[in-house]
Amino acid sequence: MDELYEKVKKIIAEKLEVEEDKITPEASFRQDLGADSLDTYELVYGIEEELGITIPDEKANEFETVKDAYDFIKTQVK
Amino acid sequence: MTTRLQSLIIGGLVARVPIVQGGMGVGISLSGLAAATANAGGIGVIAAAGIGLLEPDGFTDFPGANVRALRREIRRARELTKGIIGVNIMVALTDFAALVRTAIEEKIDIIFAGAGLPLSLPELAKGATTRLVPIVSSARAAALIAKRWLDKYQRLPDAFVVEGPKAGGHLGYKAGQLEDPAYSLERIVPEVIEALSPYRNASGEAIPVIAGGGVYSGADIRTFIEMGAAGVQMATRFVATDECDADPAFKATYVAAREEDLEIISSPVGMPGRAIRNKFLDEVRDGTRKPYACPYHCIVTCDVEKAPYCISLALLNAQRGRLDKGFAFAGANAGRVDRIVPVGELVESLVREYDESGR
Ligand SMILES: Cc1cc2nc3c(=O)[nH]c(=O)nc-3n(C[C@H](O)[C@H](O)[C@H](O)COP(=O)(O)O)c2cc1C
Repeated sequence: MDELYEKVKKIIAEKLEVEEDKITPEASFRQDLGADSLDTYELVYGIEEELGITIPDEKANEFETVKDAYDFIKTQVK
Repeated sequence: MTTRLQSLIIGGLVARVPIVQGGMGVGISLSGLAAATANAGGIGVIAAAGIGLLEPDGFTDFPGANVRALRREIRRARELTKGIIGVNIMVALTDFAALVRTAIEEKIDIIFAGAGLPLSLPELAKGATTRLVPIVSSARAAALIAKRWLDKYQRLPDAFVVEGPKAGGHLGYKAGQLEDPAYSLERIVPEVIEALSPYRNASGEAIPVIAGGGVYSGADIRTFIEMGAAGVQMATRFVATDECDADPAFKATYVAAREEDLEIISSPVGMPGRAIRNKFLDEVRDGTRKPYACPYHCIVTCDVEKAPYCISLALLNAQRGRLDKGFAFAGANAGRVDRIVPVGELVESLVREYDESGR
């Protein structure tokens, strides 16, 4: 994976307070990383701020895994 | 402390009595109760959830009937009072946006939005003078909404309602948290005030915080005011009034209920709820209820395939007094209700109790 993935991983680790090595592309936010719906929003807003992109609120709920989020973020970053 | 009860100010609107009558879905709080509360000096709230089901075409044109009924109830309330009228619109309603737009077209004073995070509400309310009040169950949710609204829409909520685990209806907690003192309203209210302390409105004031869920007496109101709340939201007490819009049989279940009759149900919409136990709920628990056909997917989180009954229909039946085909939502203190009184008398007694409790 690339530099963007590493950045996203860092933000996830920080916002969800989990170890970076737990964050794999297949990891599920809810099942594996213990995120509740508030966490999901805090995470998405954190990503928006740090990467200067916008993620629609509906999307925030659709991200199942780290890869889902990363794939969408990749389309938004120039 | 011997201070008298102060008025509640929400975005410049002044309620002489700092009591918000909590919105109560499927027809329990409509124009009748809301106007009576506003006339008594409080803030009256019409609940939008399932409001169209009371229309003749409620099941055939659910979204259309909702919008029409909400519009009519707001207009009716305006004819009955010059006081402050709000609407309660649950974020989880599939037609949330349409109901918000309707309320704004009708120039409603305040929108209360809970059962989900109203993160994009300011978008729908752009340019309107309607005050926006999220209902939250935690300091984290309050802080998240305030920050998001400020970052994205350059505005703040005009107030927050904090709803604790003793409330009636759907609850914003996991079942295991309901009895945990860490989630009690007495604990959460100061946390929310603290979390909002960095935020100031245009006039440099703190965002008013309104405490709800189990507030029963004037002394209870004092408890929360002394903690820094600007007012309270109460619902259970308002069911036991002449003006409450439910059938007398619905109100009678409150008078009859004892403390042990209140139970936590797991609602088809994926949240716990508090209700008065009856045969209908016993059958649901025992799994003896037959499947049904969903007329309209009204709540985003409802698991229509697995739901053993339709929550909207069950609440509508109860509202009409058909408690054999439904059940009454109620707050944890409903067992204490022993008679039906006029709204004016209820509000007066609460103000009196408040004043006396300070002596
Ligand atoms: C019958 C009933 C229906 C309710 N319906 C709604 C609703 O549609 N939307 C909502 O946000 N809260 C709803 N609530 C919660 C109330 O607005 C209020 O916040 C809560 O019940 C306050 O606690 P109390 O009943 O102990 O005073 C309902 C409560 C009851 C008792």
